[in-house]
Formats: sequence, C-alpha cells, structure tokens
Amino acid sequence: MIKITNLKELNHSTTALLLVCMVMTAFTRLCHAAEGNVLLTQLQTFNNNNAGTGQPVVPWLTVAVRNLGINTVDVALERAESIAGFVAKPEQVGYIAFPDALDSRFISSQDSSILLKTMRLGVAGWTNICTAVDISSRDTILIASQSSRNGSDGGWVRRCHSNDSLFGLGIDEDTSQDAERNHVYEQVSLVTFSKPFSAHFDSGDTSWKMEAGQLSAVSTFNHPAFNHIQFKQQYEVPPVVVILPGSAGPAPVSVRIKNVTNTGFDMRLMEPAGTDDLHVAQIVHYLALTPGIHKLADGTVIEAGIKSIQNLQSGTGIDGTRSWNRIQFQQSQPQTPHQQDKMSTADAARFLTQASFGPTDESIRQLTQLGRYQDWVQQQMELDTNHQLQPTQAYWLKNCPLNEDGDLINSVTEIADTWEASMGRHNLWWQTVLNGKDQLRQRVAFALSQIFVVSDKPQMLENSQFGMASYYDTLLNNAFGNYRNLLEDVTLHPVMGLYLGMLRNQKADPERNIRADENYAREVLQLFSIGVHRLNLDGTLALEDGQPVINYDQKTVQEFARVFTGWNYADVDWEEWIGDGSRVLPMQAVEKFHDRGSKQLLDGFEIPAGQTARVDLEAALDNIFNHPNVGPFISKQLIQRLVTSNPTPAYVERVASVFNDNGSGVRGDLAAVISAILLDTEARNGHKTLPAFGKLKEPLLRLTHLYRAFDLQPTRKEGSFWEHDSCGRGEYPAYVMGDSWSDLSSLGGEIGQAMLHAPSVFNFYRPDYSPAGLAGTNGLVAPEFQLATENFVVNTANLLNYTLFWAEPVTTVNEEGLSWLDFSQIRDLATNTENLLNYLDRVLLNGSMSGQLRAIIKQHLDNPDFQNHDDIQLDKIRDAIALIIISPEYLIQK
Amino acid sequence: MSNHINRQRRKIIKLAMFGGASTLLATQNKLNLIRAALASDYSAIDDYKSLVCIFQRGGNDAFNMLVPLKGSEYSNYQKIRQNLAIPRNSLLPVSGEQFGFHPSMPLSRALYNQGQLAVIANTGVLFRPTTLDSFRNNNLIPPDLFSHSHQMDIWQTGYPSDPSIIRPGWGGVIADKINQANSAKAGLPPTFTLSGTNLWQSGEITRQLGVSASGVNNFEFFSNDPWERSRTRAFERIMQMGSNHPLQAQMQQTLNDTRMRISELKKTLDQGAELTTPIDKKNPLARQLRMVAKLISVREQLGMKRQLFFVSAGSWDTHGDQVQDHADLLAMLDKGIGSFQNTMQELDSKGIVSTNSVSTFTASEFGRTLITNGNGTDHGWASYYMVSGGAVRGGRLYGQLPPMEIGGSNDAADEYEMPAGRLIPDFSVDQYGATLARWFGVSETDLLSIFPNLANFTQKDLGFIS
Repeated sequence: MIKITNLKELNHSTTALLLVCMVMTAFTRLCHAAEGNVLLTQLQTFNNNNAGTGQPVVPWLTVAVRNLGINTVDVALERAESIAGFVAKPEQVGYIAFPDALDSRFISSQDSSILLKTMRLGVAGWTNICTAVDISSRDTILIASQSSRNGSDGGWVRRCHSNDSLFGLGIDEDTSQDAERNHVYEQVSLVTFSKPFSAHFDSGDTSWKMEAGQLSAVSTFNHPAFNHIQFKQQYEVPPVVVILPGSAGPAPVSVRIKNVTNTGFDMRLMEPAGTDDLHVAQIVHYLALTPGIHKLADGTVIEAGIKSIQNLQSGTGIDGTRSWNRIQFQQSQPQTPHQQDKMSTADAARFLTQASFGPTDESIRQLTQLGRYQDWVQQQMELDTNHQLQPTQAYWLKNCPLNEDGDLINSVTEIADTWEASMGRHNLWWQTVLNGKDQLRQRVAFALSQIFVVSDKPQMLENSQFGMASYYDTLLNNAFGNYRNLLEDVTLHPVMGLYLGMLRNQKADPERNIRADENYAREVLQLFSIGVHRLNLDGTLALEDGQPVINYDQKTVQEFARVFTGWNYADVDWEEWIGDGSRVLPMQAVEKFHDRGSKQLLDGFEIPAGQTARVDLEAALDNIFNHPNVGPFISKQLIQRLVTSNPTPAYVERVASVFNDNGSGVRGDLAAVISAILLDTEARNGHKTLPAFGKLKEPLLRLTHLYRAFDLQPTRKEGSFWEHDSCGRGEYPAYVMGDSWSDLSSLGGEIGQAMLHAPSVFNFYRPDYSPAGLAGTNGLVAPEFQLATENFVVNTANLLNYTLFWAEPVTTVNEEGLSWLDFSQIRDLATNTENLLNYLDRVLLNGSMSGQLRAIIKQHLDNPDFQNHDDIQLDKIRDAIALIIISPEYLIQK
Repeated sequence: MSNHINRQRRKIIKLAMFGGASTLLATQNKLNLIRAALASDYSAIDDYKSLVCIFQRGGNDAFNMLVPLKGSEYSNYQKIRQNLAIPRNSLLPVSGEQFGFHPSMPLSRALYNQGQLAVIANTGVLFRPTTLDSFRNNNLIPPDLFSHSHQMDIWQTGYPSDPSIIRPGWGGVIADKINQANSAKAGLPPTFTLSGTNLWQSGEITRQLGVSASGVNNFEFFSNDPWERSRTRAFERIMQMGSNHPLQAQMQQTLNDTRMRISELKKTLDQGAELTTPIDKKNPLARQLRMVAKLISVREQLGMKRQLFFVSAGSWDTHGDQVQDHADLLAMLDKGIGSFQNTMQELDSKGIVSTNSVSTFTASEFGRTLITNGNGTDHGWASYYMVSGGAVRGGRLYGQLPPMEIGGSNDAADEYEMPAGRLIPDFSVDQYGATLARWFGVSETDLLSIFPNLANFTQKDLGFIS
C-alpha cells in the first residue's frame, strides 16, 4: 500500500497538513482516478556543455513535460533559471509511458512476484512541503518524473526525505538566478516496484528486458568525472534509463547520464549554475527498459522510446525563444471505462457550480438527462435574456405612475433616474439569478461585471439606479457576443462615462491649462483589455532581456485620453445644459470638443489627424482589440471567476487560442471562449488531477447557491416597494433577510459584496491577490480571500444561518416575515440520516462530501436530544445544512 | 513617432537593469531580515504606542488641500488651477501664513496651530533622490507610475509589484517583529484593519484582523447554550478536520483564527469603557477611527504594547466634479481626524492612554496633476501627507512647498510628452515611513531592511515626530 503524507511542518504559523491518499482504496485530492498515462523521462545524453573544467555544467538541463495526454505529450529541454550556455546540439530524451493507476504484477528473473503500481500526484515545491509517499517496504523502488510545467522556473522532481518507510518527493529548483527554491505544485508521474529486480520477457516473436534498483551516486567532491554503472543483465539494444535523484546535500541537484550501451551507462550528480557543483554521495533509484511497445501478461502496455530534442524551455528572467516538441505515443492507452460512463449527478453538480448560480436538484436532473455539457451550454446560449432595465422600469411605472410635478408619466423614457430604484434593481437581480432560466448568461455577466467594473458607491451613480440596470444589460447582451462589441458598448455607456470620466471629456485647452482626462484611457488598457505587461499566450509574463515588458507608457495613455474626447449624454447639449442626461442611451460625439490631432497608440499604430470622434474611437478600440494580450488577459480572468483561481498555463493557452480564433477565423468570440472554459479537460477533471484546483466561493455565490438549492421564497409585505413618496401602496414581494440585513440590496457593507457595488474599479479583489499562509507559500493566488476578513467571514455565516434557522414559512402578507427556505421537498428524506446527507451532498457538495464530514454530521444528527424537538426533521435539515455550509470543503469550490 | 517607440524600448531596457538589481536586493533583503530578526529584540518594550494609517484611496489632490498664500505663489497656483483653484479668501491660513488649509479643514488647521499636526510636503513613491534628468534617463524610477494599483503596492511595500513574488507590506513586517512586545491572547495580531484586506499590514507571518466600524460579532448559532451544544461540538470537529487542499487548509485556518480572535476581541470590547466624545455617525472615517479608539482603549486587556491600525476611504480619484467632491472628502477627513484626536484626549484624561502614544498619518497612492481637465485632475506623483498626535512636532511644514510650473524642472514628463504638472517628490515614502517606524521603536538595522530604498537617502529621519 502506498500512502502520501506530509512530512515537514511549514516553518510558518500554519497548521501542519496531513495528506493521506491510499492508492486503489480511496482517492483524495492528491490522487485521482485513472486517466491515460504516467510518463517517466530522462536525458540519455550529455551533448551540450560549454563550461570549463571544474565548473558547473552550462547549459544545465533536465526534461520539461506538459499536456500529458492519452495519445500525446509535449516535451522540451529544460534550462530552468541558468542563464549561460547555448544548446548547440540536440539531446536524446528517453521516455517510458505506463497506464495510470496501474496495479499489476509480473515475475522477475529471480522468480519473485513484483508489484508494479503507477499514479499521478501533486508535489509541492522544495522549500514548501515535502510530499511523502508512505511505502510498505524499504525495498520499494520509486521512479518519478515531473509531468507539468506550472511553475515558470522549471523544476524537477527529487526525493526530499527518506527513512525506512517514508519516502518524500519535492520539486527542486535551481538557484542560478535567485536563492529561492519555492515552487508551485506540479503534477508528478510515479512508478513503484515492490523490490529491486531484473526481468526478461518473451512473448512470441518479441523479447524485451527491464530492471530497477538502487544505485550509489558517488560524491563529486572525490569523483568529479562520470562514474560507470553496469546493468544487471545484457540488453539487445541500449535501454531507456530513468533515474530519481536522492535527497542528500543542501544544494539542488539532478542526475545526468551518458553513453548508454547494452551493458551499462555513465552517471554523475549534477548541480546547476549558482552552486559549486560539489555534491555529496547519495542513493538514487533507477529503471531501465528495452525501447519499444511491450505487454505484460495481464495486458498492461508499456511504451518506451527515445526522441532527439533541441526545443528549449527556460525559467523566469531568461531570454530566448521557448518551444515544445510533441511526442505521439504509438500505442494509445485504452480509455478507462468511467470516461465512457454517462454523466453522474456529481459531475453535473460540479459543472453547474461553475456555470450557474448554484446547482439545484432539478437542474442536476435536467443536465444528467441531457447527458452532454456542450448540449446544455448550447441550450443556455439560445435562451431569452432576463434583462434588468425594462422590468425595473415597468415595475416602477406600475407603482409610481406620477412624476415629481404630480403628472402622469406616459412612457419609461420619462422616468427620472434615482437612487430610489436601488431596491428594485437588486430585487430583480436576485429574482433572476435565483429563478431565471438563463443561468449561464447571468453567471457570465456577473463575471464580466467584475472585469468591466462600474460601481454605484460614488454618489453620482448611486443616484442612477436605472443607469446601473442598463449597464448590466449591456453585459448580459454581450455575454455570448464578441469582445470587440462588448468593449465598445461598455466604452460608450454613460454609466461608464460617468464612472471613469469619459463623459464630457474634452480636448486640451492650453488657455485654461486643461488636458484630456486620462482616467478611462488608463483603466481600459490596464483592467479591461491588455494589462500593464506583455503576456505569453498562456497568461505568463513575457520577458525581454529577462524582464517584463510594458505594453504602454504614460505617453500612450495621454494619446488614448485624446481619443476619448468629445463624448456627451445623447440627449443634452454640451454647452447649454451641463446637468444630467440619459444614463441609458449610448454617449454621442460632439466634434467641437474632440481632439482631432494624430495619435500614436499601441505598437506604433497611428491614427491620422482630422478624423471624427467616432472614427478615432473605432480605430483605437480595434487597436486595443488586436493586441495579443487580450486573449490571455481576459481568458484567465474569466477562468478565475468561473472555475479555478490557479489555472495551469496550458489551460489558459487553450482558452486564449480560442479567443484568438474560434475555429472559423473569428477573434473575440465570447460564446466560444465560455464553452472552451467550461468544457476544458481541466475544468472537468482538474479536481482529480490538480492539488490546488478550485476557488474560494464568493460571498454572493454562497448566498445564491443556498437560496437556489432550497428555493428561497420572498416574503409578502404591505406598503410601498419603492422608497419614493409618490409611489402607490399595496402588497409586494420582497427579499427580507433579517434585522440588520433589511433586504438583499444592502449587503455590501455586511458581506463585502453586492451587485455593481465594488469599492473601486479594481473590483472586490484583485486577480493576483495571494494571502499569506498556505496559499501564499505555495505560490497560489486566491483573489476571493481578500474578502475573507474576520468581519465578513462572520457576517456572511450569520446572514445565511439567520435565514436558515429563523425564517419560517409565511404565506400571508406580513410585516415581520422573513424570506424563507423551502424544505418541503426533503422533509421526508430527513427521517433517514443517510438519505438526507446523500441529498445535501449532491446539491451542496457536488457529491464530494468526505467521509469524515459525513461521520461528524451523522453523529450529531443521531444525537438522541433531537427526539425532544417539536419538529425533528426540520431541525435536522437545518443543522445538517448549517454544518455543511460552514465547512472548508464546502467553501472551496472544486 | 519613432522617437516615441525608441523611448519605449529604452524604458524597457532601463527597467530591466533595475529589475535585476531588485532581484538581488530581494534576496539580500531576505537574508537581512533573517539576520535582523535575530539581532533586534523587541520583547523588552514596556511603553504603549500605536500607529494609525489613514489611506485616501484614489490619489488625494494635495495641491488643493494646502495652498500657498504668498501673493505670487498664490496667483501662480490660481493661474494653473483655473476654475478648480480655491479662492484665496476662503483658505484657512495657518499661524505664520505660510499656507492655508482647504476651507473644509478647520479642525486640521486648529491641530496644526496647536502643534498637534504636521505636514510633510512633496512626498511620494521614490527609490532614490530624483531629478528631471534622472527621471528622463529612467534611472531607478518606480515603474508603472500613475497606475493606482501599482503605486499603491509600492507605497505599501517599498517594492514594485511583481506577480512572481509576494511582498509583505512595511506595516506587516514591523508587526512581525514588534509583536514580541505584545502578549496578546488568542493569536490577536498587532494589526487591525477597519477597511478590508490591505497590503500595508500583510506581514510575512502576521495576518491582519478585520473589524467592522459597527462592532464585532461572534459566529451565532454555534454557542454553548444547551440546545446548541451538540451542533457546536460538531462544528468544532469540522474545524479540526485536516485537508490536503492548500486553499481548503487556508480557509480552515482563516475560520479558526477568526473564531479565536473574534470571541476574545468581543469579550474584551464588551467590557471596555463607553467613549463619550461625539462623532458624526454618517462620516465613515470618523466611524472607523472611533472603533480604532475603542480598540486602543482596551489595549491592556488585549495584551498589546504596539498596535497598527488601517482605516481608509475611497473616491479620492477626482477626475470630475472635483470642486464639490474634494471639498466633501476633505471635510470627512478633517472631521475624522478631529474627532479622533478629541477621543484620544478623552482617553488621556481618563488615564487610559496618553495622547503622546498614538499617532495618525495619512497616505495616498499618489498626488495629482497640477493641470486640470476642466472638471478635475489626473494621476500625479508627489503629494502632501499629514501626521497628528501628541508625539508629533506639529505646527510645522517639513520640506518645502514645491514650485508650481507646468513643464518646470520638477515636472515628471518626457521630452516627447505634454507636461501636466506631475511633480517629482522630494521625500520618499520610505523616509516618511521610516520616521514613523523609528518613533514606533523599530531598530536602525531593521529600518534599513524594512524600507528597501531608505539607504539611498541621506536624511533617514524627517524629524516630524519624536
């Protein structure tokens, strides 16, 4: 049995982790169900060395791997952080692919039965955590290779700890650029043999050989030269050799080999540049295998090969082109049966957590019946949109038919914009996200509202609630449209014009010492499109001379500011009337105030002089839209809002590629981008393969999830829904949550988040926020943790529990009534604790409830005290939900 | 045009040189930190001090907060600021008539005249003494000037933002070290924020504590009342579950810290004395500062010798409607500081804490352009900051009101740019922060490691507090 445990306590004030993963019995986060291959790699040659005698090797190389799939894998030489050294000649990369999650046996030449197991697991950085593999026998041979390249500084896997029965793995890093050896989690392929062996297989006309064992890698203090190793048996052709370096010595180290022959090979411990290359002796584990495609008696297919590769990957701060070489496996591993299974309710619930405002029993059932995610996405994209403005206005008109002068309002265009519509706007949003069918569009618009941020915190927009509703409609309308149109509609919306100052922005007037307002120019570049620094397609920083490259400078901002001059409310005259105009109609150009000079925009693009405001604007937005950063910049943030805080670069690249070309040559197709995000293998399977996959649930999404799962019912009140005097009185429905949370429109101060109510254009949290503690130490970002302050954490929990425990069903018009959750569907279930927990597991935890959590809740629900309650079922339901929604495994969406 | 592109290119390379230095510096700094942590011992501190950061998010227009009064200087100001200029007769002159406060700031003027408030002129994010020449040659100029988020990061950490490195804020690093002086219960940190998570208080190990201005609440529904006891026991067992998922473990830690901290804090605050000094309950800064005063008033019960507080208010990014908006904002700031100082007097007179032991200082990511867009001003660089409290050597302006000239020798604009009056600071935030930190008790060795740019300036103490 193999078990993964964490060994080292962090030198940090965090609780120690216990990572337990038992192969073949239960899979937890670090382990995963079988899927495709594991892959071992090793450089077989030592063709490049520009270093002088006695100097560390340059270029110092290992093997980089990513996109390990069923049929293919990307491989490159990894130069990591070491600056020096040119790869003049290709190196031979040896690779061995096994089926994943293997549990197989074969007989060795010594007539022993050898147990062969494989798995993929997440391994932490060298100075972060030593991820330990708890082995059953001290004889076990473990070979491992890194199978992802999440960290920008390269890295390779190494033993980080060993004693008789514990065996740790860590991702080591070279120190050529800096002293740190922190590293984000990487996926590692691990192959274990129960003891050292050599084996000879004959199957029909093919014969092949394999051996594994321990070797002594000698100290380079005493033996700077390569040391010769003899195989246990003679091979017909030189085998592929893979080695896992040991844990000894304070400096980073890997193992290089060369001169692999039928009888043996040369081996040496190799420290990277930045060290003295003097390393102490250590035990290393090795595997050697005849190249080719082989079958074990039980049908297990093993593929070993050698590929000549010169493609290079380098670490942060290293210049040079980067490329990958794709290896095509000759023999695909058969897909494991579960991949062909029909969608489980757990799969459906997970998907709906990402693509809607929370799964419900009904939406889970509908999706599983539909059977395919893409069909659901397609259906959703074709649904009618639940807009904000029109129903809010209509509702207002019905309730408040008179204007300030007491005259009858004839049409919605005559309704004055006001802060008094705030409750209506929020109420409508809650109705829509809780009950609306167009869940995906609403969820995407919500995500976009956190990128293209406007906020009604400033007074001018607090007084413009219909304008806010109209802005939200702009996001809804463009959610599955083209990014270029979205950018233009947002730019010309008067609410954005007010928020970031493009409205009534005028050309420079030297007489009056006036310059164009730079606010919108700066933020549209920095936050809505390309960001400050140049990015690679995979969302990582692009470097030149080892340093980030800025996309624009102050001059560029000034030039864009001049583009965005001469725009005013559509319905008022610039000079005669400076008061309020329409907060709904797109801004209109007033040429007199537009700067008609030439402008130099991004990447040397120039707008000629003498053009109109509209022509300039179109050209400038095209210039932004076609910048290569937009794809990765926007894609990554959408992934973070919907799926996971720390997408792998490969995931970002796949989505950004779709942004750049939807397959029909169209750039910026957001429908295609959203599909790519949700249908990606990482979105669907990341929780099984990536140790830090997922995100902290946003406070608002915690609310919507619970309210949807148990169909929150508005209370019915007597009086006026609007706070406006002229509005009629009557009966109206409202979401009322408690004493201090009078309604769902005033949550911002309590839980830190409300619709279009961020503290600034930088949203409720920043996409790169990384909290101190485990997330920070592991190089993870976790934006939503910026809201996890003590007061918000407590208030959010109390708000949810207040409704859960205090709100009773009220069907009459009632001033005291609270909005209540409807448990009538599950009352009967609650007579059986297991049935109740199964239901809650499905709708709240995507069927991933841990055995431990289940046991704790079950023990509580089985407490005989419940027999004294008036309503046993209801109280059990409430307690079980309260305990689930405060649990960390619920709070992290995976 | 080619000139422009060449300049961009040059900037990249200059930045590259700087970046290299910074990486080395970072490593060096880490080592220094480790060494300093061994060297400086704060456990013997036996007096009480606290620092209160008042952050004006968005970039305060300091040039309208304080206005020179001298004839030629004022008329020059008026000429530049045009319709945004504050009329001379409405300004509130300080004793000596060196300058006048904005008419919304009578309380600040009074504190200044009483020697309880000092102004630090022309200060900003700066890595080394900088002239227009060194700016144009891009010689160690802070990157991403005029961007809110980037300048806020540098203000609060001393370093440029870098997605690959997580930098602690200087308040947080001070807290990491000075926490030795505290004997706080329940893992209560020295850092309290009334205004959400901020970088300034984020330490290497210290996690700031978030408190609402309205007070502190416990987790309800998980009490030890008999009818909830079994549920609470289950809750507590859930809080002890291990996790191999780093975010999940982080959340668990957050919940556990929160429970422990909040229950201790609430218990202590509930026993604290009532504060009677009146405040404007509609003023968000005054409300946040009132909660700060409450937390200060129970510092003994909390076991605190050193505390750092963070309060803030947004909307200082006055691109439009500046005349009205900025006046409202300054009034909020003025009343906030005024009522806080009055509350400190109350605590002093009750023998709870001396006014000499609590200092407030203002902060903002940058100042604004001298030039206007007709309705407001744009992102600038140098700003003025205010410190107040009993320990402040107030009634003085430190440094000089800068010459106001568009395209002048202190206007940070490249040759190919239209100058806008983004003034180059004289003092660095590192000097400003280090002066406060020295008063707070941070050792000289630690100051040099906490403020990475301090070594580049000869004047390591601006002298406004002792």
